[in-house]
This record gives sequence, C-alpha cells and structure tokens, in this order.
Amino acid sequence: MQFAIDSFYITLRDRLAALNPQRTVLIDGIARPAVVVTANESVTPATPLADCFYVECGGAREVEALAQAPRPLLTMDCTITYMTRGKAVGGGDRGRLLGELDAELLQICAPPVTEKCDYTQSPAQPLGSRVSWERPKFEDAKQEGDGLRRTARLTIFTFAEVMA
Amino acid sequence: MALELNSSPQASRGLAMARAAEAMLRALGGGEVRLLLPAIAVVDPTARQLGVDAPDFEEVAVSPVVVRSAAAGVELLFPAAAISAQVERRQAGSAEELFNSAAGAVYGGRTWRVVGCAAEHFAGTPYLYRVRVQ
Repeated sequence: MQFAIDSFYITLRDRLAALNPQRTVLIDGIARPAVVVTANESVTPATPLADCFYVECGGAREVEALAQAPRPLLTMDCTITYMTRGKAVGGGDRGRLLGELDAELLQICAPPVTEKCDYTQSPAQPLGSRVSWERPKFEDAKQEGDGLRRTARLTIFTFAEVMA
Repeated sequence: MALELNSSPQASRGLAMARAAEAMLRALGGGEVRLLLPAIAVVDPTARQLGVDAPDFEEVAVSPVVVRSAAAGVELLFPAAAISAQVERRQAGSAEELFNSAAGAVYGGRTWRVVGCAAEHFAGTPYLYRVRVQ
C-alpha cells in the first residue's frame, strides 16, 4: 500500500506545482509544493502550516465483492486537512481563501487516477497497475484559533502489490 | 500635526536591550545548549518528502543560555542575537518557526523536547527567547 500512497502523493504534488506554482511551504528550510504526507514528516512542535494540504491515509481493507479474485482490490480511507488564516488584517478573507483551497484540491484530484510506481528507485519504476480515488467530500469548515480549517475525505483504490 | 516617529533611536534602544540581556545571561552563568536543527543540505527532495530519506539534524551550539525550572519541565533563556543569526542562516520565517522546527535541545547530557517558545520584546525588538522543554 505504501507505493499507492506514494503515487497518490506525488501525483497531487506535481499537479499542484503545475496548477499554482506559488502554493508552496517552507519545511526544513526548503520550499516545496504545499502538499505533505503527515506520516513522512519529522515530529516537531511545528503546528500544521497554513495554506498547506496535509494527507493522512488509514489502513487498507479488501473490497468484499472481489475478495475471491486472484489479486484483491484494496481500499484505503484518506483525509486531507488544510487551514487558512487569511491574508487581510483580521482574517476577514479566510472564507474566500478556504474556498480557493477547496477548488485547488478538487482540481488536483482530477483525473482521479494515476500510475502506481515505486518511487524509492530513481527513475521511478511503474508497477503495472493504477491507483484511483473518489472525488473528495468536504466537511464543514471549523474555526480553530485564528484559522479556518476544513477536512476532505476520499477513498483510494488499488490492487495489492504482487510479492515475488 | 502627526508626530513623525524616527525609528533609529527606537531600534537602537532595542539593540541595547538585547546586548544587555545577553550580558545578563552571561553574568548569571549561562552555559551552552545545543539545538537540534534541520541540516541545511541538498538532498533528494522526493526521497525526503516520501520519508525514504530521514532529514539530517545538526547540533547548533548556542550560548550563553540560562536553564531554569518551570512549572512543567524546564525553561531555557536564549539571547536574541544568536537566534537571529540562525534564523537568517536558515531562512526561517521567525525565531518561533526556528524553534518549532527543532527536534530538541541537548543539555546536561540529555535531549529535551521543545514544547513552546515566547519572545520578550523591548522597543519593538526581541531581546530574549523563553523556550519550554520537557
């Protein structure tokens, strides 16, 4: 499943870089597209950065209808959280900026499919299958301190990797 | 008629306070604390983002630093000048961002986890940073 998560993340990262090159964050002193897999980052007291998409994936489970198939189809719940404090004094524009983040997330999640690759190798090696996902479902925005936060949820589908 | 402020005397007062604070930390027997900060190294960004390559942390010695007990844990008092130099070197947005990126602080043969920080200001200039560790 790690290859599926990697492929999903790399796809979102590259699409965001193409869609909005200004949407970057500074992590460890290096600017990068504002998509982050929470589990891949160091544990530090840094609070989640504003205007950045944080991806978390749950455990994998088999699709029951295809449980008898030679190669089972797996699903994984994914949450993407993001927050904005707005740019105007007083943060009065944070609703609109959150809407912009919603729109960007929808755009980078389309088309909802990508090639599954092993990105631990250079160049990345295709694994002969694809990763697909649903359109994200947006939950109500919540005010947290001076930031407005939203969580989007989607399900990722992928075939189990064949172990040699 | 609006009063026009001349920032130079104000900035000078702030810098003087920062120097005085550093001298006070030294007089109080401030020692050396090593901050574990992300190393400034060119690594494969994709490998780093995928968690394949762990980020390197380097120990950055800062002194004089006073260590004192706090309600929950320990409080470290850092001079502003030393921290400002690291903020500039690492292109961090602020001292708070620098401390938040730290994996810990090494003191007394032990690595302490940074849990928060606050700046003390005078005339608009930070002169001291209080960092809580556990």
